[in-house]
Amino acid sequence: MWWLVLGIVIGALGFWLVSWAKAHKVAVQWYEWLLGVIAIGLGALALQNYYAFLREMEPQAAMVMLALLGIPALALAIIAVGLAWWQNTKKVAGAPKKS
Amino acid sequence: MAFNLTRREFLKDLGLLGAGITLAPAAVSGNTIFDWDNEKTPQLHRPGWVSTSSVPTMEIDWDKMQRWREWRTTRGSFPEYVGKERDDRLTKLQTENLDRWVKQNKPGYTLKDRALQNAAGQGSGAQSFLPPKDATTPDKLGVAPWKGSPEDAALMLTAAMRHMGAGTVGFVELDSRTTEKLIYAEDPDKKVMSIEDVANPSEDDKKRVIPKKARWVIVWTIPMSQETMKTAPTALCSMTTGLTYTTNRSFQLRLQYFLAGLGYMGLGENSTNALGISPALGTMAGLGEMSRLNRLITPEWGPIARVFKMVTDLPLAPTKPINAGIMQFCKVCKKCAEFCPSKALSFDTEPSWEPRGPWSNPGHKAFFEDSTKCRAYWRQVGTNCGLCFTACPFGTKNQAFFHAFRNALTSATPVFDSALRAVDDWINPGPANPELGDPFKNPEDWWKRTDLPIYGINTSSGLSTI
Ligand code: SF4
Ligand code: SF4
Repeated sequence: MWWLVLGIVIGALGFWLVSWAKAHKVAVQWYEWLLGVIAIGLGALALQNYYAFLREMEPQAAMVMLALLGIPALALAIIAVGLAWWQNTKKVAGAPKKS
Repeated sequence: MAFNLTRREFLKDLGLLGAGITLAPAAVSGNTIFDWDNEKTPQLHRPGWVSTSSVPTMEIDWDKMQRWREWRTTRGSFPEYVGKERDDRLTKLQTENLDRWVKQNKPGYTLKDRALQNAAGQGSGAQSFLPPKDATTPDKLGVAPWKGSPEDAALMLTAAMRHMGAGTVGFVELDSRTTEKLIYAEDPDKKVMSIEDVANPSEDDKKRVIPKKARWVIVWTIPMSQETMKTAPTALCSMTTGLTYTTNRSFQLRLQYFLAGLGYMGLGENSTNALGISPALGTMAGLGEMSRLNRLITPEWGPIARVFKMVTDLPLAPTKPINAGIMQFCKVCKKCAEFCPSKALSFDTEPSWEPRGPWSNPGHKAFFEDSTKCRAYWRQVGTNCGLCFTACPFGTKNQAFFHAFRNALTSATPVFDSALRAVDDWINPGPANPELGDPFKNPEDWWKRTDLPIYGINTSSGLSTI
């Protein structure tokens, strides 16, 4: 059930992100999307393992899994957003000035 | 290049991603996506990463194997193996330790732990080799015995047994050159287990007679509470083992009544561990794989389950041995051997044909243990320890996705076994420098938990949980 809710939330957020990018004419490269998707996947796994290990009464295992999966998820998400931001600001900065 | 998806395409892709995330855990655990050799074993719904095989992952030399006398194990012959003097010394030590610990309130050995341990051993049904005489048989009802194919019988029994408390169920057909050798030559009480060409089973002072027509062995597991096992080697931990045996005594009686009600015989264990070699029959029935523990590891509960058996003349479709990469994993892992306080378990990388003493039967390539060392530790702490079961990476509660991932990977390739063992050290570390009798997890925390499942067992394990 929680997976369904998470799927819907991720879907809605993704939809909003794409609409926002389009409205603001933000170009996102395919590899930035890919990094984002992997980050979301790892993040979802981190959450599942964290809560499931807590249910298993193994708090240390929960923390280990949160770190093992959550840190790479966060790092990938930062890289994806950072890359997109950097490329778009570069484009804006390099654009010919209006006369 | 930017993605140029139409809104419709984009929504479709997001839907697929959501579906992927939603279904991923089920796909890896394989409960609903894959089918486990359903043609051969329609009654078993095993995880998708478990494959079947015509031979078990433990090699067997059936020519070398002979029917074993149960009382030659350390359960029956410990004083003979270690000498009377040492046996007496251990008895004294056990009394002193338990006495001191109950007075000191040592966690896991306090009055409440001992009281619960004692309580869990009570209230079981009578345990008997012979079927009950007062069952309502088809004969008494004036109808013919139940008729159906061996597959139908296997399916029917599995459904009934699951409802009465079995975890997993499998079947072995007896063959005089092979599997029949897994039925004991002599029971724990030294009575001869004779297989004879007679119509009915019988028992006297010297022997128990199994009719030759009773060619099938029903083998089943009863899971134990993983969380309670984590308090090993304490009295509290022993309680959950005791509870499983108590449960099984009642279970066995009910199964005997059920078979009698169908018009067939059910020949049970006359006492704990009687009738046949449980881990071996469990292996042949595909309930699990042999391991460094020299015991069965099941795909569903790891080693945290007990294995029981019954001989019957109801024809049953046999289930096949399995390969889930467990025995292979044991070659690398060795965690149980490291944790064993008495250093009873083998540290060898490969299993061996040579038993380490007269307490084990030859004829199979196993990680043989020094059973006297194990028993001596049991005697010192006054419980049946179980630290090795507790340390095992497979003895997990299987709710986290990681367990399904580990199982699938272990089954697919041995390449990642040492990495998986390393991760297990982080997530299931255990105590650093335990003293005699110290627990893996604090029993006092266990006593504060009121949210454990009934009997401490997640009975939905092995079923779809979506
Ligand atoms: S039960 Fe305890 S003493 Fe025996 S082998 Fe296991 S860890 Fe060692
Ligand atoms: S702890 Fe490791 S070596 Fe021991 S039985 Fe479990 S998997 Fe095998």
